[in-house]
Amino acid sequence: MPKRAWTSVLARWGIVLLVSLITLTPVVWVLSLSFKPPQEWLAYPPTLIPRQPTLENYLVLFWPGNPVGVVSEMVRTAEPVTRAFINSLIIVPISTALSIVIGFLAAYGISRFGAGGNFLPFSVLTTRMFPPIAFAVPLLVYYRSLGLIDTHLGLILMYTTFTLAFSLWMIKGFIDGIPRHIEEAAILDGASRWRVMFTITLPLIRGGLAAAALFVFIMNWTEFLFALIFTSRFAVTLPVQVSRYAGAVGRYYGPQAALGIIASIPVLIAGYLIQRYLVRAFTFGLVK
Amino acid sequence: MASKKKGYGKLTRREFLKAAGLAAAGGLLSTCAPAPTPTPAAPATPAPGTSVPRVEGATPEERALNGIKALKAAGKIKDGDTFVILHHSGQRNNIVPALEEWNRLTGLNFVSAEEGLEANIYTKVMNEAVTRTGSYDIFLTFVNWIADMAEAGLIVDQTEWWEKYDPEVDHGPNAYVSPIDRFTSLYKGRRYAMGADNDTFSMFYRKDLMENPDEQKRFEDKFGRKLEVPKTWEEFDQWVAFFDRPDQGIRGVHMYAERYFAYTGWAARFISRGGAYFDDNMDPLITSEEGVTALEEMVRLIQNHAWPDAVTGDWSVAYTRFPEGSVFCAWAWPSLGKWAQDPKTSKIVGKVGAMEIPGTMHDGELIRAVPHVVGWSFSISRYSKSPEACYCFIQWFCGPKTGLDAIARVGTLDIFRQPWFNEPKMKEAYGEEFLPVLLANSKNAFPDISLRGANEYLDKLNLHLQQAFAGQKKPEQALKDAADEWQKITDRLGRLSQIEAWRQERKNYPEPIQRLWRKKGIFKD
Amino acid sequence: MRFPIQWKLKWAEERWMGQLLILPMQLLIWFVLIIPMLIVIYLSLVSWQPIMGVDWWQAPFAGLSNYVQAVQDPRFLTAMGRTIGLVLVAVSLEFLLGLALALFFHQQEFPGKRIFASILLYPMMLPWVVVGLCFYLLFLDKGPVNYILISLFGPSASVQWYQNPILALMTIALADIWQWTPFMFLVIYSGLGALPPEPVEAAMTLGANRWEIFRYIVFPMLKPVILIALIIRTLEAFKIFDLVYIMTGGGPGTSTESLSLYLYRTGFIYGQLSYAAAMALLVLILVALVARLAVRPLEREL
Repeated sequence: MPKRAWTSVLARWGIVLLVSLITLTPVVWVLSLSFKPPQEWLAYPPTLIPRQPTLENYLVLFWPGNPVGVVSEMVRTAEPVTRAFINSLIIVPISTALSIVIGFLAAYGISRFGAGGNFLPFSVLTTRMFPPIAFAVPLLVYYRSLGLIDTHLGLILMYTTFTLAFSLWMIKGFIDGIPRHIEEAAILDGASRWRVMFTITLPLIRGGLAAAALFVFIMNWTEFLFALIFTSRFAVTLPVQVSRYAGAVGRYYGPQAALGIIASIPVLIAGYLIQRYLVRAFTFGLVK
Repeated sequence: MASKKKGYGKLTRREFLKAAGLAAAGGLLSTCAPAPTPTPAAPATPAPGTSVPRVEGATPEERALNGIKALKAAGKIKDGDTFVILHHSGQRNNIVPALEEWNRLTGLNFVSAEEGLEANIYTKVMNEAVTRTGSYDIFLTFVNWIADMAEAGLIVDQTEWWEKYDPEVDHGPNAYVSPIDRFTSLYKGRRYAMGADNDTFSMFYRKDLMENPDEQKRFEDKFGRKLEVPKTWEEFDQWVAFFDRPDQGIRGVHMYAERYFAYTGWAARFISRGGAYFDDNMDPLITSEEGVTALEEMVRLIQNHAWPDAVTGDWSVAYTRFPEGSVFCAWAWPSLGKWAQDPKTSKIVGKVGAMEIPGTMHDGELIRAVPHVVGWSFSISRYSKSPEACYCFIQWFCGPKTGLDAIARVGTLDIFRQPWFNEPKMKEAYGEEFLPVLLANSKNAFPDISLRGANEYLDKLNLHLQQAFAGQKKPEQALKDAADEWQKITDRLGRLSQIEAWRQERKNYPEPIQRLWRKKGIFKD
Repeated sequence: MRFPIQWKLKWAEERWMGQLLILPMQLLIWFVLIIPMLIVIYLSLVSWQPIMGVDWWQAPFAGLSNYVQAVQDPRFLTAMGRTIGLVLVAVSLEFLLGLALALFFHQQEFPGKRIFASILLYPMMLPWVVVGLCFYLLFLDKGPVNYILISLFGPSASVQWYQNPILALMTIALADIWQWTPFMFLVIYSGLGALPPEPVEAAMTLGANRWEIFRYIVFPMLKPVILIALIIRTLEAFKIFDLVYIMTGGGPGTSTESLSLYLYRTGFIYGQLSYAAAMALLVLILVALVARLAVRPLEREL
């Protein structure tokens, strides 16, 4: 191989390796923590490979009374995490889908028809500017009168509304990037506006939709503050469940790490699936 | 594209939307207002002063169960009724098995709703005060939140029920350790809560080093007195300095100097010197000479003889540092003793000694002041479907027998009734040596600030104290800043109400301290 | 100008369709957000604390006094300054790193690219609380980072990360950058992928080098996407709470307290909901003004 090719290959792999290392190190730390018994959680010198690896932290999540070891003694009467899992699996995909759909419709309306004038898109953005903490009590009072506290519907409504700004702005950016003449051409051919929106524009921004969907999904999946305040028994989601692994002496780092790893798996799957979408969509290019 | 032109039809439509929206908003807004706060109503029992017919039953637990039977008979509750208890994850193990038994005995359905973050319990409680959903019936909260909860109209006054059912808290052979019974339940002279915990700070040290003859000789040579557990803070500081050996990887002491508990070390010295948080006009007394000296001593101690994470770590640092052997002496909640003796978590099993918290000499009398930090107590929501049934549960749970079983399980609740200090179960759980020390310390326990706005007072105090510990401020300035903030808080919350509460609160302090105050003329009664 | 009747009809149809399209969004926002917002504004104009035992609609009127107090509150102002600084540092680094990674990805083909991409996106997928916990543990006095430093440079290299406010803020920024660079990468990469290839090809045939192509062709076309990513990320970063809460609690004292953390303390620990509402509205106004300026160039692009 010519010299320049060699160095560029080397540089490329060097970058890949370095970035992977930086990205993965905390993850590996969490992973390692999830296999450590309690006495190693804060041990010094810290070890990457647990001295006495154990599956307890994972077991105890789904089977709190399991007889394996120390951790189960600590969390003996806890609830298994299945309920939190199911709640998250219900609430998050639904609110993500709703947010993307409503966001897409609105983004199209704003981008192509200027609906809402100058004011609307920006005012939607202001929903993200307000520290959610300050919203909490008024929202609580309001939800109370609607009977939505600690319900799936309540969280779905909230998550959908609060992520609309993302959906709207991200998708709008992608729609703006599609030249109008493509749509105009179809219209002159006799297609209706609705048809154009769904059969022409939508496929062209598939990649962007996927990226927005993934992002909204992640935001909803990891959302903590509102779930913490608005749920207590029935609609508890995974991030809140993680915070419950605390007890007589501070936090149980092991089970929290284990739950963190498990909680990220559905997102990983979603991300992987969407990725193929991303790549495929872009290889189309703007073929007329 | 800007739409300055496009817009006429749209504008009217927008205006219409806006108007409709506002109308709807107004309508919905009015539904947000739940029923107004009911005037604080005492439970339906005869007025205080008149004799209350006591419920039958030889033990508090029996009386509680009979109470439930009576309530059922009167149709106030029925089988299968659900009651929700809000508590911290740390008490899960204490409470949940008890719930199962209670449900079996009464046919009711008491369930647990736990929270992993303490601060979030406060949030939930306050939110409940505002929204009044009735989704919680019983709260197990920090002792010093009782004032906030009572003033917000959230919890009921239990005093008449105490008279009716007699939980044997402040009298009898099964009584709680005094004065813990008082400050975990009283606010402005009425019982708003029932204590379920004992969080008297306990101090532990390395017995093995103390019993080492070489150490003993060296100490005697240096200080001219025998090496023994220090009784005064002065002796304590010297003792800690002696055992502070950074080169050997062991520091003298771990006492909290961090964001949430920095006040503990300072308060112990300050109160034992005869200080008090406020005078009878709610003016802070913390800037007095006692306060400043106490803080200067603590700052020196932490800066010279402790690891830096005493300032930057969180409260669990004591539970790792001491059992691993990197500090000579540490204090924390009683559970630290359990932790240090457990072979699974500790490297110093068998080397742990427990001591009474040092104090200050006043004319030959040693006055100790031991901080009782946090602690949990039960209170009952006004919006519960049957507050009286909730009371019966609380009395049953804290009863001499049931409570013993509950505390013996591993959890954040600790031993609070006097006879339990002699129980074999407790000796096994805590270590036989430690129990008498805990009892002695408990008798000298004084409460956190338990006024309305307690969180704010304490947080602002800690903020400045921690800055003093981190070297960002001089001790005198830190106390002065804290005092200024305290004055603002008091003014905002209503000085008269605070004065009334404080006058009651200081009566919950241990007798020796109150005597010292009278002697020094700080308080007259 | 005269417009044929068909065109006028088409405009009407478009307007109607536009309104319909934004209707669901408007409904949601009106019914889920506007009412609480009204309550917040009301709260900021009265002086209310739950522990005063008075219902919120009966609270005494306070006019603008909460706002006046906020503007003079040193803790509020320093929290704001500190948060702004943190956001500037963190977001710019996230942007630069994300851009670099996206370009790298876009131009290079190599086996395992998809796996590498999954690895890159992983930090976003962990729940906040776990990320905060993880970094907190990493930078403990007796944590892995100090352990590595000691092994490399000797015992005096151990750093008290959380005692020094600047260092503590750095660790928080690090955690934030670690977690959110993937987002920037994702958005910019999608943007790159949606760009038409013709201009680039044309430039290459004209002999432009990589840097010139980037600067004069790719970057201008990417501007809308970049701007959106920056705006969204900045708005989010401004509200940083979880990381600060878990890693330092705002300490020592208040030296690492972010704006959201101070609002949380004021509203939920001190119970001063009115004051917190006023501060939050001030933040909203400030951020909205700045964002308005930032968004203008975006609107011009259309």
